[in-house]
Amino acid sequence: MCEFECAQRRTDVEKPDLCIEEGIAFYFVMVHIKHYDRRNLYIQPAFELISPHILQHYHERTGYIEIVSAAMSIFFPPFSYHNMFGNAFSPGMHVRLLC
Amino acid sequence: MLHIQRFNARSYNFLSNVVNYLATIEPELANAIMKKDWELVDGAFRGFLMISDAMAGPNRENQKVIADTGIFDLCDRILARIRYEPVTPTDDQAEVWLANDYRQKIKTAVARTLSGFLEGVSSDELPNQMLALLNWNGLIDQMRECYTTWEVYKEVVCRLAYFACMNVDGRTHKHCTCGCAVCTCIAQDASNMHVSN
Repeated sequence: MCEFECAQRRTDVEKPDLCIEEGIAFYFVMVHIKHYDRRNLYIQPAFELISPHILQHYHERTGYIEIVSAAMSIFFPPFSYHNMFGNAFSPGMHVRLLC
Repeated sequence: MLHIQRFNARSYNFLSNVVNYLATIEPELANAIMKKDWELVDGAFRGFLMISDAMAGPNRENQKVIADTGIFDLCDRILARIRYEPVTPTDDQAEVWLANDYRQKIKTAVARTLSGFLEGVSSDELPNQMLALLNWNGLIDQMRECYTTWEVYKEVVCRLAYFACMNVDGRTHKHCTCGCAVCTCIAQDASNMHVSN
């Protein structure tokens, strides 16, 4: 165990990454609903308010499966991918299936 | 079943009751965290999880009923009111960190509830309702705040790791290798000291 992990235990900061998990949950909602914002009135303008490197940070860490058809996109959220696929998908992995 | 009990003479809408309960305690929530009233905070947390579970499946009927209870305004208000308290690298900050843990729990439950509305979406109706009623700039604020808090947490933990090493190892200057700015700086300090020795 490295000193970083030791300090985490010693100070009861269980998971600084929990903050990022929260951000990921919001990011997932926004990425999903962006498909329904067909006139780009809500989500795209909101995304422009945040620094691109923060957005990239979330993008790299949010895992989801998206099935794209002509009519709509179907998303499988990060909350359930563990149950469906065990450890097959890493948190930052996106799978895009076109049909 | 949570909003209509078909075999009862009179039905009770538990979903709307839960949202009403959450709306009632919402103004007190931020104070409750400050006063360490964890029972109330847990109540809110469990309320949101119940709503989120009620929509799982997806249960489209429940999704529609909950969407009409004014929950989007409630989510906006909670996200606007509950903010992380700044953390600094001192030993007496454990209580602040605990309070921040509770803040994080509630806000993640809110995010999970919002995500529940999008489960198995089959028409534009619910997403459009969400798009029109939720404050998206508020969600962006949350994402920004989460990122900033994460950076601060990481820095604080790295600094603590550094001082812990200083105490244990004296001049050895072991450092963690997570690659953040603090660790890199510590690593450079250590190598400079090694060269000067």
